[in-house]
Amino acid sequence: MSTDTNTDSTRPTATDETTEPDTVVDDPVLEIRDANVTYSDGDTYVLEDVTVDIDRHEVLGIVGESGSGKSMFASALMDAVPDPGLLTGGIRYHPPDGETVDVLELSDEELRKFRWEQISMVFQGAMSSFNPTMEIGTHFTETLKSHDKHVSEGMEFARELLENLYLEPERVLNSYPHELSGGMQQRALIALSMVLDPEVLVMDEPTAALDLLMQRSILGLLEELRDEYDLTIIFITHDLPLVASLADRMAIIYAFQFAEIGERDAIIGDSAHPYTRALLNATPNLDAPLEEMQPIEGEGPAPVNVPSGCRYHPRCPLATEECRTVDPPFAPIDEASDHRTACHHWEEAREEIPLNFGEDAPDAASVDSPRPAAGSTVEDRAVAAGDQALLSLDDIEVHFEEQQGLLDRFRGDPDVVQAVDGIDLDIHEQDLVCLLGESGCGKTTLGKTMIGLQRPTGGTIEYRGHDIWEAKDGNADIPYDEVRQALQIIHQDPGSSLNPNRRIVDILSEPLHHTHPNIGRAERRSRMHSLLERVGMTPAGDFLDRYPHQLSGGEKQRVALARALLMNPDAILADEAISAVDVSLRIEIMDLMLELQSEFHTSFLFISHDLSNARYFAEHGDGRIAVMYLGEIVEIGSAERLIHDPRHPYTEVLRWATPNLDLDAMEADDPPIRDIDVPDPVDPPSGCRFHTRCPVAREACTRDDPELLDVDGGDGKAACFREDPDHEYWESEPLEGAVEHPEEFAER
Amino acid sequence: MTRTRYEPECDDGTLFLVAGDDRVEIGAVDDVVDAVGNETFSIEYDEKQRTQPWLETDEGVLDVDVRETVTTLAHTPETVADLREYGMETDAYGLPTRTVEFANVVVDILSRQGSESEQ
Amino acid sequence: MATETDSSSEEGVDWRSDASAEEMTRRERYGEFYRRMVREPAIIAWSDLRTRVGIIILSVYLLMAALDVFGLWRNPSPNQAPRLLPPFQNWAFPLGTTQSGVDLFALIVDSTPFILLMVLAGGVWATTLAVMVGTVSGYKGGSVDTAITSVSDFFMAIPGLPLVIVLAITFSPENPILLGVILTINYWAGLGRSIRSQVLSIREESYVEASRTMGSSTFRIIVKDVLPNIMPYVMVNFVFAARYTIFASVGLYFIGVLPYTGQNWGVTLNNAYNQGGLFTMQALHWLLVPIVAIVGLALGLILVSQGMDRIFNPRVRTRLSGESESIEGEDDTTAPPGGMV
Repeated sequence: MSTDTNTDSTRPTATDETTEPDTVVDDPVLEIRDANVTYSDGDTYVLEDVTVDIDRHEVLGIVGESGSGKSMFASALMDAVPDPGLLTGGIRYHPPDGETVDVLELSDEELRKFRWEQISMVFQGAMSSFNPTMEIGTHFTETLKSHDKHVSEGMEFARELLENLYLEPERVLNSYPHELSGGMQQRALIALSMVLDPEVLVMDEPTAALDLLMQRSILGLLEELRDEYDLTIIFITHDLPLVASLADRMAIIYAFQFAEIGERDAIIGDSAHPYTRALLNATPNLDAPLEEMQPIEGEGPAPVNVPSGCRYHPRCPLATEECRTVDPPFAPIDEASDHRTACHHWEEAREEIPLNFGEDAPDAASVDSPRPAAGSTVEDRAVAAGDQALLSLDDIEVHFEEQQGLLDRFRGDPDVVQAVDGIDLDIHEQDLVCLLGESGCGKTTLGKTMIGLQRPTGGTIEYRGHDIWEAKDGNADIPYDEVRQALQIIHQDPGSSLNPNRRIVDILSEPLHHTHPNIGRAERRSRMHSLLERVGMTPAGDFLDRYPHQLSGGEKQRVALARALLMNPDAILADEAISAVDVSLRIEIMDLMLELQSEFHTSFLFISHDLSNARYFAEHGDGRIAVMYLGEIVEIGSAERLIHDPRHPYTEVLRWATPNLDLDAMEADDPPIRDIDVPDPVDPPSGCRFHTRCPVAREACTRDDPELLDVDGGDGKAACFREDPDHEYWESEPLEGAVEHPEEFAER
Repeated sequence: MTRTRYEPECDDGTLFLVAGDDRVEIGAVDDVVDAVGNETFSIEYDEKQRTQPWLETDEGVLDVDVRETVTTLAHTPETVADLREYGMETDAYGLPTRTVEFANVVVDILSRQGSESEQ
Repeated sequence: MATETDSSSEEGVDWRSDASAEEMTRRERYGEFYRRMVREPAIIAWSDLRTRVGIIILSVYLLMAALDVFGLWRNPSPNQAPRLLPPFQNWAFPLGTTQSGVDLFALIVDSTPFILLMVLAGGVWATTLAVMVGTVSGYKGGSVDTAITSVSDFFMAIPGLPLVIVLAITFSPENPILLGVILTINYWAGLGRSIRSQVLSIREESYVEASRTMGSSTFRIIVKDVLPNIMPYVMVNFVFAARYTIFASVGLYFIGVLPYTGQNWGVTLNNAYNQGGLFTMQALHWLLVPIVAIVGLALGLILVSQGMDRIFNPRVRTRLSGESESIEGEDDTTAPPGGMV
């Protein structure tokens, strides 16, 4: 393959002759040339001029925000662009032996064979692509049959794959799809995608619906699969640090084009494109000092509205006149390098935009430490001052039994199955508590119980000293309306948190109808108007008359936040409220919530499965993180202490699962747990509920459930026998597979 | 781990879930079909989903025969234990509650697959 | 982000803004109301071919009703014309005449207001009751649900047609509205059940929970959050109920259970049948005309209903009324034809 350099000052367009990429890829398995995907008779590009080689046996991580064209790239690789999209350009596939295949020239039948046999894909919606009436095993045999493969040999391989993915082959093969947890389904899909022994595995946000811990565990497994079966993996995600642990090379997609591509270490440590650098700085992670994290202003463009010149210029701090008019070529940054970027000013970018982690960054420890180590959280101050708690939970239990309709149980939220067990917790004025844990741990149930949406089956919950449920039944001193006004919620899914049939103006009128029933229309409108502007939606007048479907995910969450704030609440439950928002916007929304917290004198209950988000919140708001596992709080304390001095082994696991950008510590290693899957919450393990997965569990852990006790030499509490040096734990035998110290586990 | 499932058995038009000696009456197959609402349940897959090799469908729509599904699909002991909580005496809209709940379980299993948008 | 707020007062934050700029005059508000409730739905309805045809068909019936109400066509009476005149022969009697020399068109026109009122009453009664029952029982659940469910079970257990016949004989309704109600006396129970099951899933939506969290009343949540979602379904079922009313009334008139003073479509059909309209070519039109009138009304209703879900779909609304549609960016899984990734 020739490697002529392309010195044009403008990016080649689709009409130019085919251009060779400048990358130095010796043995490409896929060559993509000028790939374009257009809609509306070629007017709208959703993938533009993508020219890239994919090396055999590499892991290429592709990162882009939602709506950037990254999924379209995945579809293009398999020539599976959704109608009426039109894919042009060239995609050539080089099998290990045999003739080069021009993917776009294949007939329908050839294409059907080519997909899954040569290139297979696991995509986000794959988890609902099963046939619900067939067992998983039948999915395997159908797949083998439809590609004329030998079934019993194929099933042998399938069992091997499942075993490598830490699944029990017989059990999984005999299960129906709905009987498996999300993490198991996803691993079964990976095995299905590999059963025809493809060369290339395309993974398009395969783990986005899963918990962080499961995502990281699956990534570790992928690494092993790649080595064992000589795979080439293309991993597409919005989550930069996640793929960084796995990738050899990384590419960044912005506004339907590649913005940068290069070796992983070069992209993370020495990126050239301002967008990449901003994205890295906007990513919540555990290494960067909090003060340095900053959002990227604005949002990526829609395909109908792509800026001229460099597409990133409206959001770029370094943009010049040249950037506004001339589209920068996607060129190598120096002759011999395979690091390519599309920026006129990449040299300036490296100087002007320092990265907030790694070597460039100020020493994380020194930045973190100015905060007083103890007595710094809102709780400590409130307790010291003897203030009455805003919300007080006493031995709260929530059990779902017969009354719970089956339909409700199965729908989406697995928390519903899970009981919350014996939780004591006080929330103070302007407090901030993050509930952290895997799905099914009961964090949503607990959160809803805290704001009086879920009636506990045991224990009491008090609002300013008044029992909420007594108030609801009319037996307390305060009217229930007051409780209802005081405790609000922001939901996880921006898509369903706003009524699709009502305009924003009507949605926001609802809270005002409660708090200010007597104000006039003009005043109502002006209140909404100014609050919308406050939450960053300008010009507010335009937004008021829109329907929710006309807003982006981030905008919907802002409206949901504004709606909650218009109630003048004392506490807001934010249930994974930013997980559906783009990475570059997360910090902005979190900052907004934190700012509004002090402006409105509100407490926040923040539910998350991501320690780095929880840390951002808890540290900025002087709050606490409560780690939950199977309905219990296993550790609680300041973010600072939980991250630097975790006492419960489960907290350590979550810390492991949190991606970071530290190149030295990045390689995906095995998770420090004995079992990837969470036990069935319907029938939790005896004793300490974590003992089935705990790396340091011993005999004693199977008998008694440790209590949540104050930790020595730090703030907060932990529920682990290891905190007590005299506990019988130390005398009892380690369980099978467990080790003496958590650190040994990785080396095992 | 051996997983015993409750297999459906049809006795003179009445559906039972059976594991060993344990027989749980679900109700008339016709009633189950009535409660599901239709003889066929259509699952629509999006364009990416329909490329899956095990899905050989016309236009990405899988038509599931409800009658066949309820008489062949086995269920977990947990599901059956839940169903057992509901009575067989006529309650919800002229159909036994357990029959209706069973139909809900089936509909839920079926509706978890397919593209998100159609609901 | 600049914090441009003043130190907040007790009563929340003073969100000052240029109120006058946002003030709307009364006239603007009426204009707005007209745009939302009349013009936009009209544009959407008209844009759909089926709905357009349906509207035209229904307009013909309304015109016929108007002819009768304003007395613009002669009243039917025997021997006003030659007997068994075939249709489209004599434009004074466009649809021909019956054996006793009654103008068929006059017969049809004469009973149109009656039929339309009856159909409307039947549809409104059945759907309104079903919506009330279904939404309340689905949304409230618990003992309310159980109570309502038992009542509807009772109604569903009674065989419908015999009940209607008994009621019809007992009350001998000559008022079209009462007749409509009697004909659909237990139609609501089945519809209520299916509405209930839809409400069960809507109840779980986050925005309903948000409204609940704000302390909105059940009534308010049902009207603002639940109803708009089931409106397309309700409208379609309104049409089904209306169609059922026509067919039931025609059937009952045909078998002679319902009392009548003058003739109407069902009675005409009955007469034509008794006079051998089925067997002689000369009387065939006598039989066909009322059938066409009945089928035409049912068809018009169905066609209109098919476009109804579009009127209630905010996406169609914004697109057709020419508002800019910013494309959603959060959905990465599906690529709608609009071209988002």
